[in-house]
Parts: sequence; C-alpha cells; structure tokens
Amino acid sequence: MKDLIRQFNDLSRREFVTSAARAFLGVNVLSLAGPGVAAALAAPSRSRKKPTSKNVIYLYMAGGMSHLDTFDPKPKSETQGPVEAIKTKADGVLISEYLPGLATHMDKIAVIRSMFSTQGAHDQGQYFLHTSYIARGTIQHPSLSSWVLNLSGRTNEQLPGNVLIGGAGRSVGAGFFETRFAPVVIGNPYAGLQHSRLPKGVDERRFRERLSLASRFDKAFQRRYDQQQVRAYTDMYDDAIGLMKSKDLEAFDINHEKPALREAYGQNPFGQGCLLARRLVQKRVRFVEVTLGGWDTHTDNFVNTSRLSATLDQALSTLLTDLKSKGLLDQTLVVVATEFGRTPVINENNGRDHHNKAFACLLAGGGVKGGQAYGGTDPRGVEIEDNEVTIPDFNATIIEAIGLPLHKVIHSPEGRPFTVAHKGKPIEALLGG
Amino acid sequence: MQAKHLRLRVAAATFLAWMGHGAVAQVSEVTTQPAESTIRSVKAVPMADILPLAQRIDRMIEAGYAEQKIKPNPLVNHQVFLRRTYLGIVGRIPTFDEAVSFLRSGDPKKRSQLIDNLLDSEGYISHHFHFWADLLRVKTQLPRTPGQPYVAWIKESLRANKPYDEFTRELVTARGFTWENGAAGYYQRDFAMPLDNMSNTAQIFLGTRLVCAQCHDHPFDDWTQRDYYGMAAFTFGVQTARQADDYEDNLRQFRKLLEREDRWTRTAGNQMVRHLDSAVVENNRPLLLPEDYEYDDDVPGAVVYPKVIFGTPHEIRDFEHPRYAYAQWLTKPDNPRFTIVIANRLWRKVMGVGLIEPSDDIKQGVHDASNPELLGYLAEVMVDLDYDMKQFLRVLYNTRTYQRQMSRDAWKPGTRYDFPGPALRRMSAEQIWDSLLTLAIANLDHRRGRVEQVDAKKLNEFRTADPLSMLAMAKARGARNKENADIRRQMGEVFTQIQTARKNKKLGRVNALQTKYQELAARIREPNRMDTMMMKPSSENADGQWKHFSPDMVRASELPSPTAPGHFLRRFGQSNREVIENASTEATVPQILNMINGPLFSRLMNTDSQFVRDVNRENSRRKKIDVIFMSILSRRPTPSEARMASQAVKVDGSEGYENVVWALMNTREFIFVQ
Repeated sequence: MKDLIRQFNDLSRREFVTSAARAFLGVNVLSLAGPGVAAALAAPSRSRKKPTSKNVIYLYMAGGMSHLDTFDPKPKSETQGPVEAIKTKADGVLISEYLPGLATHMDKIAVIRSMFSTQGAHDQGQYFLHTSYIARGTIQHPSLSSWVLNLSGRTNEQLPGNVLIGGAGRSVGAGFFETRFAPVVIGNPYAGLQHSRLPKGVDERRFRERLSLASRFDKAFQRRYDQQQVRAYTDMYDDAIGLMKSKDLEAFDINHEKPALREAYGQNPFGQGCLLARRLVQKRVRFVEVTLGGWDTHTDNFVNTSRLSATLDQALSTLLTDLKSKGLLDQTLVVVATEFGRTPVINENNGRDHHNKAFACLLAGGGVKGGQAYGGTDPRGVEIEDNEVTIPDFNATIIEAIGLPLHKVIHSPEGRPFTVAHKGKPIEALLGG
Repeated sequence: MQAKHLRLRVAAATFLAWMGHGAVAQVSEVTTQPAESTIRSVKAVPMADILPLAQRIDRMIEAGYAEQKIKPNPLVNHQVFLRRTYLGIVGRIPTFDEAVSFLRSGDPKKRSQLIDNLLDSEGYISHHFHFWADLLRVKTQLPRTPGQPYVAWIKESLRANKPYDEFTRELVTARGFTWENGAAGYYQRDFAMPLDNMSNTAQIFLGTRLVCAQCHDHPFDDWTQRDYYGMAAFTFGVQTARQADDYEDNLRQFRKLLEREDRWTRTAGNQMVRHLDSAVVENNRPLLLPEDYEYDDDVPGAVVYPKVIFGTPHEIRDFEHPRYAYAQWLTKPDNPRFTIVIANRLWRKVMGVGLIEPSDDIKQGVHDASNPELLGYLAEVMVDLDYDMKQFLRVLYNTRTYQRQMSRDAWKPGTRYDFPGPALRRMSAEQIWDSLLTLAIANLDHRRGRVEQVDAKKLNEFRTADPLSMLAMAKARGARNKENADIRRQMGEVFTQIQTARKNKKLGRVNALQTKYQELAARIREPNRMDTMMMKPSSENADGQWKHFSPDMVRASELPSPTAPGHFLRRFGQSNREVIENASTEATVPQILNMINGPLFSRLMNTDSQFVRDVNRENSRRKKIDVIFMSILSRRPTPSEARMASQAVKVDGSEGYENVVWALMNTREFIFVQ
C-alpha cells in the first residue's frame, strides 16, 4: 500500500514540480532529479560564501545532554554544582572542565547556547530533533538524514548514502519517503556492514556457481514477468554483489586504520563509530549519524556526565583533527545535537531532570563560522536570554550549511506538503566559515 | 452456540450503556487470557450457496472483457493454484507433503476443498493477523500499557471468525484495561491523542482521509475543519488514562501514602501499579474548536457537538456516551462507505489490485471504483453474508477470475484494471519469513512463540489489597533497588580503577580488581521489576520435534509486533506499525545481502530440518532434486532445470545440493506470488 500510494504521489508530485517550474522559470521541461535546478530555485541572495560542506557527521547525544556541565557552564551560579569552567581557544568562550580536548578545538566550533525545543519527553524530543515535526499518530515524517539524501542524491554509487551507527530510535527513518532513503544501520562499528561478506564455507567460486544457477533457474520467470517490480530485484542483486566486490566496502572496516589512531578515538563503540564515520564521509557517504547514549542523568549527574563527556571529548577532538589532517574538514559538517538539556536545579539524587527550554548544541567544520558562542542563557542557565534557536531553525542551518534547498516541497502520500526543516530559518551568524 | 454468544453481547452492551459514564467495570473473576475457541468450519455454509455468488462475480468481470476488448488470462494449473492459494490464505508456501498430496489427488473438487481446508486452519489466523496488525498499527508494546492482550484479541477474533461489523463495534466501543478487554488496545494505541484516533478510524473503516481537515479545510476533498471536529466530538470524551476519581479507594490511599515516602519507595510503588493507570474510560469533556480556527461559521473555542459527515446519524440516547451512536452509524449496512471499504480491501488482498485504489482515499463512494457495479455487488454479498469475512473470502477464492494466470504486464497506478487475472505481487515480509521457516520446521503453524503476558491476577489483587501491606511491599522493593544502585555505583568505581590499572600495566592489580568487580556483581539481586508481567515460554510438543530450533523461529505472527529494527522481517518491509498500512515490498540492498550472506540459510539447512529429511529420504539424485524443487517452488523441475541441477550436484556433491537450494531461494520466482 505504501509503495502504491507513493507511485500515485510521484505522479502528482511530478505535475506539481513541472507546473511550479513553469510558474517560476517560464520553462516547460525540467529534469525532476536535477539538484542544480532545485538549488537554483532556492539560491540564497546573500553575499555569503557558497557552502563548502557536502557531507554530515551527526553526533547524537541521546537522552538529553546537560548544557551546564558541557557547553554552557555557569561558574558563578549555585546551579553549577562542582564543575569548573575552563578557557578555550575561542576568546571568551568557556566550556566545562570535562572537555579539555575540545577546548583546544573551539576555534573550529560554533556553540549554540540558546537551543529551544517544545518537547520535554525522550521519544517526542528525539522525533522532533530528527524530523523538525511534532510526532503524530497519523504520519511518520522522514528524518533529516533521509531528507538530505532525497534532496541531494547519493554521491557514491556503490555505498549507501545514509548510515546510522548505533541504536535506531523510531525517529530515524525514511518516514513516508521511499525505503531507499532510510539509513543503513550499523549496530556495531567493530563489525562493519552486516552480511556484506560471504558466509563461512562459501568461496568466490561457489558463490559464482550459486548465482549462475539462480539466474538460469529464474530465466523463464523473469522473461514471463518482465515487470518493473521484478526487474528491481534483479537490479538489486547486481547492486548488492557490486557492493560486496566494491573496494569502497573497506570503508566499513575500521581494522584498516592504524592502531594509534584507533586508540586516539577511544576504544569504545562511540569513538570507533566516529572513526567509521570519518572513513565513510571520506568515501563520499552523505550523512552518517553516530549515537552516544546515556545522557539521561536523573541520578548522579556529575559522575555520569563526566564519564560521557570524556568519551565525547576524546572522540570529537580526534575526529576534528583527523578530518583536518585529511583535508576533509572543509567539506564535512560536524554536528553535535541532543533532544533537550537538563535542569539547572540539582535534584535530591544529585541528578538533573529534563529541560527543553534552554540547551546547547554544536556545529563545526565546513561552512560553519567557528570560534563563537551563539545565543545565551541567564546566569543560572534556566531561560534563554537572546537569539533563541528552535529545533527547526537548527535543522535549517544544517541544510543551509550543506547547500541544499530549504524550501523544496515534498508531498506525503495523502498530498500534504512538507519541507526539510518545516518552518525553520537558518541562523546566518553561524554560517560562512 | 452462535445465538447464545449474541445474547451475551446484547447483555454486555446494555450493562455498559447503563453505566454510562465513569469507572472501569468492577474487578472481574476473569484473570487470564481467554481460552482459544475452536475453529468452526466454513463448510457449515454449503458450497451450493457460495458458488452462484462467485459465478455472478465472474460474469460481471467477463462482461468487462467484452466491453474493453480484453482477452482474459488462461486458468492456472494445479501447481500454481496450490502455491498461490497457500500464500493467500495461510501466508506460507505448502510443505512438501502438502504439495504432493494435493497434486496427487484426482478429486475434481480439490481446489474448492483446499480453499475450505485452508480457511478452517490455524494458518488463516496467523496470516490474517498481519492484515489487521498493519491496518490497526498493532504493537506488542503500546505507549503506556501492554499490547499483547490486543494482539491476542485480534487473533481470537479471527479464530472465532467474528463478523466484521461486530469486530469494528467492539473496537470503537471498547473500554477498560487491555488485559481485561484486548479491544481497548484500539484506543490505547493512540494514547492521549483522541483527534489522531478519529482520523485513523475514518481511514481504516471508512476509507476516508480526514487528517488534513484536522488543521484546516481539506484542500482536495469536501471536508471542512468543522466537519472534522463534528466527527471527533463523538470520541473526544474517550480517555486512555484513568483520572484520580476513577481509582479504587485503596489505590488512592496507597498513592497518598507513597507521596510521603522517599523516591525509592515511590518509584517501586508506582512500578507496581503502573498498569492500573491506563484504562479506556468515558467522560463528557467537551471538544472545543482550536484557538486558531479561522472560518466564518463559528468562533475559536466554541463547543463542538457530535455530527456525522455523511449518511443518516444514529440517535444519541440519553445517559449514553455518544460513541455508541457513532459505532452504530459507522457499522450500519446503509453507511455509504463502511461495507465497500472492507469489500474492496478483501478483494484487493485476493486479486492484488483493488477496485478502488488507493483503498483508503475514497472521494465519492462506490463510483470511485473501476467497476462500480461489481463493487456494489460485493458490498451486497458482504451484507448478505452478515459480514462473515471467511465466507466472503471463500466466494472470491472460488471465482474463475482468481484462478486465472497473473497478468504479464504490471498494472500501473492511476490506470484502469479489468482483471484479466490477478496481479503479480512480491510476497510480504511475513510470507517470505514464514515460507522459509516452513521448509525447516514441521507443524510450524502450531508452534507458539514466547509471549510476555500481563499478570492480570496480580493486578486485580492490587486493586483490592490493603494499602498498608502494599506500602510494605513497595518499601521492601525500594530498599532492594537502592541497595542495587549502591552496588552498581561501587562497580562503576572499580571499573574506572581497572582502566587506570590497565593503562599503568599493573596486571596483578587488574586481576584483584576484576575479582572484586565480580563479587559486587554477584551481590545484585534483582527483584522482578516486571512483576506484573510474566513470560510464557514458546511451546514445545511432546515428541520434541522443535527442540533443535530456537524459540524465535516461529511464524511472524508469534514474534513481537513489529519485530526489532534490523530483523529479517523489517528488512523485507514489515510495517513498523507507525502509520496505517505501512508495509513495503520495495527491493533494498540489505535484503539481498541478508538472503545471500545472512545466517538464516544455514539455520534452515541443518539435519533436523524437515526439508533436509525429506530430501535425504530419497536415494536417487533425480528424486532428491524433485523434492528440492517441490519443497521450494511447489513444482517439479523442467527437464532442462533438472539437468542443470544434476550437473551442479555431479560437480560438487552434497555441496551441490546446497547450491541448488540456495539458488532456488534466491530466484524471483520464489519471492513473487505467481
């Protein structure tokens, strides 16, 4: 049913795009998939440098990262607890002592300290962060990564364009888009791409023999039913076998990295996931999300946040260094995002609870004006004082930084219009690095 | 039997109407899952009553051939019929034995008999469960309450072959806890989202998309936002959580007592009674137009009264919640959309293409259909059969139209289809999984999966227990949790010390610390946190024929709904149950990688596998190859296929057989339903 409705939808979408093109450009013919045209339609009239980022590494801090104890410290406030603030490479930007490595990279990073979400529960917050829309029972919105792939297309024909390393929540998926825009999930970064190697006991020769038998047995059927849905499977077998043979498949295998570098990222799933993410964007994979869970620190906030911060600090610092040394930082947007922050008031269990009305996220790398803190909260870290950035604004900024069309409308199966960042507006002050 | 059942139903409805408003029914004696009912045979209705209906459908379709100058596809042979019908009715390929016994039979009526036998079988329930689970977005874990009773209720409804109108009314008027009344899952699925629930009801049962009108007048259809709110007003007062007023006195006292305790006790106490919050209850809270209502016919914030969008409304009786009138209006045969929607959905399930497509975006009604006369007739048949879905399917499966070859050209959405034969489809994810398992596991349809069940007995105890004794339980449990948390904290510290010691290469210290870590771990005694839930193990039969297969190798309907992301079923497009009819048959690379390199193949190919035993029973190469083809494709090999297979075996020996099996499973012929 889903597939069918999409086909209907494709018809009407095509009509829509064509008539829109007529209206805007005075032309009749328009290539549907042409990102060039789409980009032209949405070309910013501002004088800022063209975006340099092509790919995104999106580090998702699941559970709600405490802003006070990471990127928005309040050294003089009673809400801060035992954590000290330290100076960084960006003038006047202090961060938590838990992040000594990142302090030396702050010149590359823009901290946003005025993040605002309308959602204060995990599921809803994660969904909103990833889709820019409120979760409903009647539709599933595509996640940012699926939008990116849909708006831009794959740039490496052999590898998937959208990869998720770590757990998959219900919010990260293709939503009402075709399945091909869904992320390929890597549960374990040490193991690489699932099922991409021949099973034990099957060598290259035997595999060829099997494929040859299959194609001979299937000849009559395929001739008889020469239909798109049948051919799609035949093509997909070719793609899968192409992938298995592809040199680029090595991108999924972190064992090819030097032990010292692996060590530098941190010997934990998140650190190794970041390393894998770098290998993938190096092979022009469009969007890689890596999850670091455990930030839901209702209890023992300081013990847990310091531990998680150490993991993040090590992995992200190494990632930024590594990207830079390989000349990839200009073309890679690095995002650190979380669904909400945590209450400045410390609860009776030495923990902090959910706090969605003010929190912090980061942007770094290509297209980002680093070395700054944007927006801010009051001296206790409770309320936003200036430059509120909503979740849709944040996502719009990401899209703008990688030069994709913000306003391109894609219709859901029931014909409702959607855009990548809903009504979000990009924050110009963060862009143009 | 049937009459008695009906009377009970009336009595229950009256009782509920009398209660009108307020609390959940009193603590009942029924504390466990309803026992499985026996399957009544479809043969209770004589074939002589069914065949004329099938023939009339064929005449209507065939009149269309002449009009549109279409040549119908030839009728299928027995092999194709066999495989197609197993997949259509029981959702899996036939086993080797089933295939052979059907093909060997010389009975001229064997096709009709097979249809009847399959409709009467366990597999019917297993397969049709997915039809409903996909439509109703059924989840084993609902937002706030266990969904397993909802799953069980749907299966039991299919087993009892509950008439469709009754099935619908029971969902829309459900009340209570899911573990008392599984149908309450219908509202719990949309926990605290009554407006979304109404949009879903309209889409599922009326094939009508109202969702756009939730926020503004519908841009393509006639519905206004006001129409939407008029409909929503029927069920807005159905709530998915109990209010404080609804609690039993002892629970109210228990909660009050908890407030004074520390957080460990509070958490433990809330955990104990958490399933006692989420019940479907009724109240009369008014529905107001939204703050941003922008049309001239009313003002923002105005109270909306229930009003149907089409057809004749059913009178709302005094002291009765409006949803009962709504349920009556919805399911009356004269509702202009209710019957055609189910008739069209089942037609689509059997033939591959609906008479109305998409089947849940009806604009006008029966005149949306490619053949309005036929759809009108199907609706008549449905009413005449008293909404008996099995008999309705029985009619469709007995048509000549169904028994024609699939069309060689694909039907294109947006074009007319005149049914020269059914339309070729890829198997659903569940059909692929169930078919592969059929090869290995004997009596698969009877193997039950592990199920996490609600301990209804315990929950009912909590509803009447003395608050002080419950508090004592909560305290004990809280203290235990606190102790465990403390041990975990110590373990965390030791863990850090281990890391430091490792970095400093102090191996002796590492060992000592590891011992300490183990000792700490051993001290954690977990009180059963899910103590209002209990695990029912998967079934094992007497002769132990399943013991070599892990408990997760059961039919898809016995696994959690949906399965976890990354499961074989999800890879092949099982619905994630987030939106209505969200299953997919699109091809993806991970699917293929799973078929080529995944572990399932070797799990199916062990020596305990039914299929391997069937092959090994034969001595000659030719016969072994015959068994392989019959088991996987439900047909004999052609002479040239037999030669190719034989050659493969000659070269590679036993590995050659495996190659042949692997190759057949990786054909399009295997995953498409011909």
